[in-house]
Amino acid sequence: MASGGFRIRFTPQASANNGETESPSRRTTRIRTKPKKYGDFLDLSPTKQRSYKEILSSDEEEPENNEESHLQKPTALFTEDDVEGQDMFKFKSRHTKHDLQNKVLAAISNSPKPIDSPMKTPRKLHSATNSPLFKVTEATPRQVKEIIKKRIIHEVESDSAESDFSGSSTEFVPDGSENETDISSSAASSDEEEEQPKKAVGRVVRGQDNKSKVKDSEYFLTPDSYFMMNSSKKITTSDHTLARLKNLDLHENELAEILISAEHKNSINELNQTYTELFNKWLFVLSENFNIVLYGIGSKRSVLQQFQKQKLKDFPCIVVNGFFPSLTIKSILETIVVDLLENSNVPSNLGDIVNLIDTQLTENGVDLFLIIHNIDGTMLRNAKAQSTLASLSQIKKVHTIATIDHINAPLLWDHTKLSKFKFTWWDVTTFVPYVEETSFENSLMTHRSGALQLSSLKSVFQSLTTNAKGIFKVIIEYQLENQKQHYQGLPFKDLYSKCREQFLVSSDLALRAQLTEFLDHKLVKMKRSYDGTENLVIPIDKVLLQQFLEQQDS
Amino acid sequence: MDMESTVSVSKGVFLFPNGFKKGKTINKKKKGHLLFEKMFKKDLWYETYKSNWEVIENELLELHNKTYSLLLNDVVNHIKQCGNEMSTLEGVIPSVTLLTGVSQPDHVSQFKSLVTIIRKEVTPHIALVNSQDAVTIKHLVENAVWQLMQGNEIMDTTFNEDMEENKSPTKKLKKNQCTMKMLKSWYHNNYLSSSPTKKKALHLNRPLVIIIPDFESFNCNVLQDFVMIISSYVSTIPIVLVFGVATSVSALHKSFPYNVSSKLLIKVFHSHSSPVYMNQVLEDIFLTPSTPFHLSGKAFELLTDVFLFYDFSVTGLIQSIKYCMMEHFYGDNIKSLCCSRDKLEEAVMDLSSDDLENIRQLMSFRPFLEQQDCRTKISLFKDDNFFREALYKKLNKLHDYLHSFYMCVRLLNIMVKDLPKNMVGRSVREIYTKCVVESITETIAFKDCMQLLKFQSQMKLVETIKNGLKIVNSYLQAASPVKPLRSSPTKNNLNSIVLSDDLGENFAKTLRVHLLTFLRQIENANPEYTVSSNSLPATEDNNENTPGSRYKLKEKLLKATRVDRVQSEFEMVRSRFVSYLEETLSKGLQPPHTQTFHEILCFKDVANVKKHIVGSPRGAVHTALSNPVHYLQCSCCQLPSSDSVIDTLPDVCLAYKLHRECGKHINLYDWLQAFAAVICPDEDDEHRHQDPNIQLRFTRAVAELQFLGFIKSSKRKTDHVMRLTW
Repeated sequence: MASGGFRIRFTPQASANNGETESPSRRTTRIRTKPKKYGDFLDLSPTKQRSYKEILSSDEEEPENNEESHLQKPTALFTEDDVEGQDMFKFKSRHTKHDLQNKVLAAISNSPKPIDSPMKTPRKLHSATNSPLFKVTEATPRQVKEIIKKRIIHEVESDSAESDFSGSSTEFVPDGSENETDISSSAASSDEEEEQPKKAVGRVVRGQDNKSKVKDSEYFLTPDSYFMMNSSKKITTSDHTLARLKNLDLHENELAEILISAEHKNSINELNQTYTELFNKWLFVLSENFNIVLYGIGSKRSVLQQFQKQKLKDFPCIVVNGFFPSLTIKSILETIVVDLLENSNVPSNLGDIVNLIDTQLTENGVDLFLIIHNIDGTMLRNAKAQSTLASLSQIKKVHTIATIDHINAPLLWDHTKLSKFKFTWWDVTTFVPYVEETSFENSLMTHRSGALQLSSLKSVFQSLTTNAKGIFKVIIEYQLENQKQHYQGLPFKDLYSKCREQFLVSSDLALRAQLTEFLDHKLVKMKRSYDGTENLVIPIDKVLLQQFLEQQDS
Repeated sequence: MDMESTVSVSKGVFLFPNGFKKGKTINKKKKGHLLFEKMFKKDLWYETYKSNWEVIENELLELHNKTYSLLLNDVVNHIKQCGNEMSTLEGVIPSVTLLTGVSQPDHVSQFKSLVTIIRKEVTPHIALVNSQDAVTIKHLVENAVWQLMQGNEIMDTTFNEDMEENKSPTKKLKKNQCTMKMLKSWYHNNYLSSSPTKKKALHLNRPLVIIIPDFESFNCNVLQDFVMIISSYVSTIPIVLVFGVATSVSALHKSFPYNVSSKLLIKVFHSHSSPVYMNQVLEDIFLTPSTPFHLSGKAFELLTDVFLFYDFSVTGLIQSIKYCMMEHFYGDNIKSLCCSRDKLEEAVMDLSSDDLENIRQLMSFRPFLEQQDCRTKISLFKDDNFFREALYKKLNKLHDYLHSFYMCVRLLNIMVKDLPKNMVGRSVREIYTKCVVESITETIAFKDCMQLLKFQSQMKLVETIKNGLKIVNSYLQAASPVKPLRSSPTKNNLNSIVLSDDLGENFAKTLRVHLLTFLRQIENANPEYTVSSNSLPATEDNNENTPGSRYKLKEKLLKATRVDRVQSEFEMVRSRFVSYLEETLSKGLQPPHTQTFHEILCFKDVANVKKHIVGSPRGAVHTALSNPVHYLQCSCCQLPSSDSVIDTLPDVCLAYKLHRECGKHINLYDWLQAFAAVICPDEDDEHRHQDPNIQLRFTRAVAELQFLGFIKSSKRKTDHVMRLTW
C-alpha cells in the first residue's frame, strides 16, 4: 500500500520526466521505499520529513476503495480560513521558567502606562518593572536566603538551569544577575513564537483578519518534543503557594459589575444581538429534522433562553442543565415520560422508552424541544447518557438544541451517535461569563473554596457544645502538629486519652457519640488502618485550619 | 420564563409544558402542526424547497430499494430455504452473516428494508434486536421473543381470521413473561398442534427470524449464551439468525469459541461498499439535469471529502446535501425559480417586483446585460414583464445548458473511463468536479486524454461510441421542449436579445447523428495501412542488410521514423472523430459559472455551509481566546500578534494567554502575579496583590478555563494546576 502510494503520488513528476528523456528514465522514476523506522523520521531533513509525513498521513486517511486506487487528498475540507492547527496543537516543547515573566514584561512594556522610553533598552525596562516584583522577596527574608542559595547552585550548573527540566525550582521573581539571561531567552522565545507582524489598522472586519495571516496549514508532530515534555517527572515551578495572599476571605457576590469594561460590554451586547437574527433559521433547521449544537466561548444560556422565549412559546420545552452536578439521564427521561406525557413510570429499556416517546408524541401531534445547556456536562459524559440523548434526538418529533463548551466535547460522539444526532454546528461565541455553569464547580483556587469551607466550618463549630468544641480543637491541634507527607490521622485511642486529660469526656461511648456528629457534618473523616485502629482526619487544608484556629483564639 | 426559572441547586431538568396537555389531543394536533410550519409556509422559496426535496427523497428511496434488492433477495431466498428444510444436524442453527461495511449509520436503512422484504415474503415473525436493548441475556431473550410473538398479530389480521380468539392474549403480552419456553409453546399452539387444515399448512414452514444488526457492539458473552440457548430449541422451533457484521467474518469467529460457533451454520453475504453506493446516489440523483438544484464544484468537493475522509456514510452525505439545499433556498424568494421546467412559468409569474430587482442584482446578469443594445437594456430594467419574459427564456436556456452539460460529462466519462493514467477522473463525480471548476477542455489533462483516445483500437472505440450513444439517447428522452411564456407581451422587441447558439435537445440530436455516422464509419473503416506510396529505400534494402553494418541499420531506422507514416482509413476516421469530440465537448462543457443566472440553480456558498456541517469548536475557542477582536470588534484589544498580551483583554483571554507560556504544571500564585502585573502594571505590588478585585477576576478566569477543559487541579504540588493541552 505504502509503496503503491508513492509511485502513484509521484506520477505527475514521473510523466514529466518521461516526456523529457523518453524511455531510459523508467527506473529512476521509481521512488525507493524508505525504511519505516522511528529513528529515520528524526534524521530526515525538515523538507524531506515533511513530505514523508504528508504521504504517511494521507496513507492512513485513504479509505479502502478498490474502485479508486490512487491516493486522494481532501480538496475542499481545509481552506485558508481555517484556524491554524499549529497554533492550537503544537508542542511548545521547552517551557522555560521565564516564559510567563517575559510575557508579562512584554505586555507591560507594550502598554502605554509606564512610559519610560519607547526604545526598549533592556536595563531600563527591567528596573521599571522589577521593583514592584522584587518587594515580595524583601518582604520574606527566607525567600531571599533561598534565592541566594539557589544562585550558588545555579552558578555551579549554570546551563541546565535554563530549561524547564532542571532540578532547581526557581522563583518567578528574578534577581539581578539573571537579567542578561532573561533578556536573551526572551529574545529566543520570541523567535520561536513565529511572530506574525500584523499591522492592525482600524477596525478589522470580522472574518477578514484571518486571511491576512500567512497560512501554513501543514503541521506535523515531532515525537521527540512530546518525550521532552514528559521525560521529567519533576515539577519545576516555583514553590509559591496561595497562602501568601493575605485576604483569603472573599465575597463572591462582588463579581458581577467589575469584570467587563464598558466597551466590551457594548460589543458583547452587539455580538449577542446578532445571534438573535439566527433564530428563524434555527427554527427552519430544526423543522427539517436537523438538530443544533452551539459552540464557542461564553455562556450560551441567555441566547438559548431568548430563543425559547421568542420562538418556542407554544411548544413544550424541556430545559436540561448539563452542568448540574447531580443530573442523571434518568431524570431527563422521567421529565419527558412521566411529567410531560403523563405515564406512570419509565420503561427500563432504552429502545422501549424511545418507542414510547415517539408514538405518544405522534399521537398527540406535538413537537417537543429539548434544550440542553452543556451536553458535555460532567454527568452526561458517559456513553450511555449520550446514546440515550442521541436516540431521543433521532425521534422526528423531538428537536434538540445543545451547547458545548469543553474543548474535547466532540470526542463524546462516535459516528453512530453523530448520525443519530444530525447536528448542525453553529459558532455562538458570546463572551458572557459562565456564571451559572461554574457555580457548581469547586474551583481550583483553594482560597475560594477555602473561604466557603472556612465559613461553613465556623458555623458548624459555633453550634457545638463547649465539650465538643474542645474535642474538635484537640483533633485540629494534633493534626497541625503532625501533618506531614503521609498523615495517618489521630488514633481514636489517643484522642480518648487526650480528651480525658482535659475532662472533655468521661467515657469511650460519649466520645463516640460526639464523633458521629462530626462525621455526619463531614467535619472529620474516619480512616481505618491496617491494624484496625481508627484514625481521625479533618479533610481540610493545613493553612485553612491554621487560620481557623487563629480566628477562634482571637 | 425568565433566566432564574432554570437555575436551581436541586434540579437539573425543567419542564415548560407551554399549554401542552396530554388529553387535549385533537385540538392540539392541528395547532401544533400549523404553528411550526406557519412561519415559512407563505414563502415561495419554502414551497419550492419542499417540493424539490420530496422529489429527491422519493428518488432516493427508489434507488435505495433498487441497490439493496439484489443482495437482500439473495438473503431472503436463503432464509426461505432454511425455513423449508428443518436443519439436518442436531442443534445447529442456520444463520446468515451480512457483511455490511464500516459505515454503521447506513445500516439502519438496510436492515429496515431487509425486515420489510422478509415480512412480505417469508414470515411475519421477525425480531430485530439492537445492542442497546440487550444488555443482558434476559433482555435479549425477552426482546427477541416479544417481537417474534407480536409478529403474530400482523399475520393474524392479514392472513388468518380463524385465530381471532388467540389475538387478545397476545396483545397484552408482558415482556417479563417472554421466555424461550413460552415461545416454544406458543409456536406449537399456533403452528404444529392445531388441526392440519389447508390454511394451517400454509403456515407450517414459517421460520422465526432474529436479526442482530450490530454484532460488534454486543456483549460477547450474552451472544454466546443466546446462541447456546437457541441451539437447544432449534430442533423444535425453526429459528434463523441474521448477523450484521461491520468488519469481517473473522469477528464472528473471534468472539465465538468453538463450542458456540459449531452450533451455527453460517452463510456469508457481502453488501456493496459505501463508495460504490455513494457514486450511485450522486450519479443517479444529484448529477442529473432532472433535479433543478445543483452543487458548485467546491461544495461538491466538500461533501465528497467529508464522505471519503470523515464518516464514510451515505446517509450523512445525503443529509449534507439536504443542508446545502436548505441553505440555498432559505429566505430567498428568487430561489423559487429553482424548480422543474414545467413549473418555471408559474414561478416566474409569481415573483414580485422586489424579487425581480434582486435578480437584476445578480452578478451573472451583468455580462448578459452588456451584450444588449441600449433600448433592450432600458426595458430590461424598467419593464418587469419584459424582464420576466427574458428571465424565463434565459432560465430555459440554462436548463438546456445543464442538460447538455451533464450529457457531455457522462459522455466524457464514457470516453476516458478506460484510458490508462487517467488524469481527468474515472467516476462521473470526479469529472463533474473538474468540469464545474474550470473549462476542462483547456486543461492539459483533457488534452492528454484526447491524445490517448487517438490510439484506441477499433473494437474498443466502437464499443465506447455505442455506450456514448446510449447515454445520448437516454438524455434525449428526458429533454422537454421550451414553451413561450403564457402572457408573453409579444410587442416587445424580445428578438433583439442575443441568445447564444442552442444547446439542449438540439445539441443532443446533432450529437447523436454525428455519433451514429462516426460509428458506422469506424465500423466499416479498413484498419490496414494502404500501400505506402513513397517507399523509397526499398531497393537499397537488400544489399545493405548485411551483418556488421550496425551504423547502416541505425541510419535506416532513423530514416524510417522520419518518413511520414501513412494513415489507414481507420486512423483518419479516428482522428476526425477525436477532433469532433473535442469540439463538441468544449461547447458542452462550459463551466456553469459562465452562464447567466447560474446563481439561481447552483449552490455556491460553501464556506457558510462548511461551518455548519463540519464545525470547528476548537478553532472557535482558540480564536476567541487568542484574538477576541475577531468576535468583539472592539477598538481596545487590537493585538500586534496573536501571541501578545495587553491589559484590556477579557480576563479569560488574558489568563489563557499566560497559561500558554507555562509548562505542564502551573503555579497558581505565579499565574495570579503575572495576571495582576498585566492588569495594573504601575501599581505597587503590595497593593496589587491585596486587591480582591483582581483576585476575583483571576479566580473567575481560572474557573472558566477549568470549565473549558484547559486545566485541571493537581495534587502533585500545593496550589498547582495541570495543563491539559500541549
